[in-house]
Amino acid sequence: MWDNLPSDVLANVFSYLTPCSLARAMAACRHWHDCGRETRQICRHRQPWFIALPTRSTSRQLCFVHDPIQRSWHLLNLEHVPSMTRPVSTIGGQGLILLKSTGGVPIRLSVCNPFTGQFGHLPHLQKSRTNPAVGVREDFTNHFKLYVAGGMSEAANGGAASYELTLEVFNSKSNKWTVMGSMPVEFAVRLTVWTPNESVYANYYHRFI
Amino acid sequence: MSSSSSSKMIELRSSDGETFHVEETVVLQSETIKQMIDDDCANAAIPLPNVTSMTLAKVIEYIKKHAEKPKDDDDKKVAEEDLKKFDAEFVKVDQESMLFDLVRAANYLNIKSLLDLTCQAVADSIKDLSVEEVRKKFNIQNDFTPEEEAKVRKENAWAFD
Repeated sequence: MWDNLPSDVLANVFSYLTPCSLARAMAACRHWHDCGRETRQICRHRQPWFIALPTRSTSRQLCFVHDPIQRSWHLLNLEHVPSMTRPVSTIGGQGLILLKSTGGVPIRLSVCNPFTGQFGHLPHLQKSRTNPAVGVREDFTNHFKLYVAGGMSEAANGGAASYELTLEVFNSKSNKWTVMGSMPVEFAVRLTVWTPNESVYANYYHRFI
Repeated sequence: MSSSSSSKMIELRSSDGETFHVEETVVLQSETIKQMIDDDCANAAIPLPNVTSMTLAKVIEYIKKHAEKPKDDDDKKVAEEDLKKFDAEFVKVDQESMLFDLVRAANYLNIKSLLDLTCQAVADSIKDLSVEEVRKKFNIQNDFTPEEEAKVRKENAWAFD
């Protein structure tokens, strides 16, 4: 009976489970397993989980999560994440991790759910670039925004690469990147050369550190 | 049928042939029935072949309660508290099968608040169970091969500690 519940209804049920309970439910049968992988909104329960990421790349992809109800730590293997990617930040309200491509190629951002094993690329940036500053902004809805600023744009027609002056914003609601405007070149240099990936969003201003 | 729109009654017929008369304003909480009324398909009794009379009676109890309008702001607070209590009691059903029927009916009738309420109730009853207990409680056939099951458990080993 319960194993043939429509997927969207089951996903609704799963969205109320904690990551731990969902992982166990996913081991019940194939239908529940497949449906659990598709469940995105994993943190509808009140107490948020704490996700800790290694700041330097390690030989294997992993992260630590803290369950505030059981008060226990778990080590999660991110084996499903492609090897040429590195975590940038958590998108905590959603229980997701933001990742970026590595290896000197133009940046490609992706998102994974460490609990269910779901992994997916975000759409390409409007302006292809390497090494920009990346920031995450969450709101209290089920959506998030990503900010990408500065970086080097690819060399055109054999010329030298130049600093990319635009700021782009990704809105998870529309699943689209939008160019928000340009900045003076010295800002772009600063964001490209001096900014790792830390940024702070406070009082309606997004600050790259 | 009454010509006054405020007290217009809609007739619903359950899968086992029982009929229920409900005010139109109440029944509009069901998007499915609202669509039928909008499409002018509600002149005769609306057949609900997927909902038994027992489940339909429960659903009607829910939408009637949720259709009550508070008179003023003071009343509104009291009503909200009252509704919370009602919802908590409403999903305390004796049998899992009743909860299952309510989830299916809420989905079929497209009553979002009832679907969310019942789905959360199901989640609450799953949350502390082991895999074996989940299968037993929800009557789920384990259709993994032994290799698949070992793999799934390895993937999620952290949750079985």
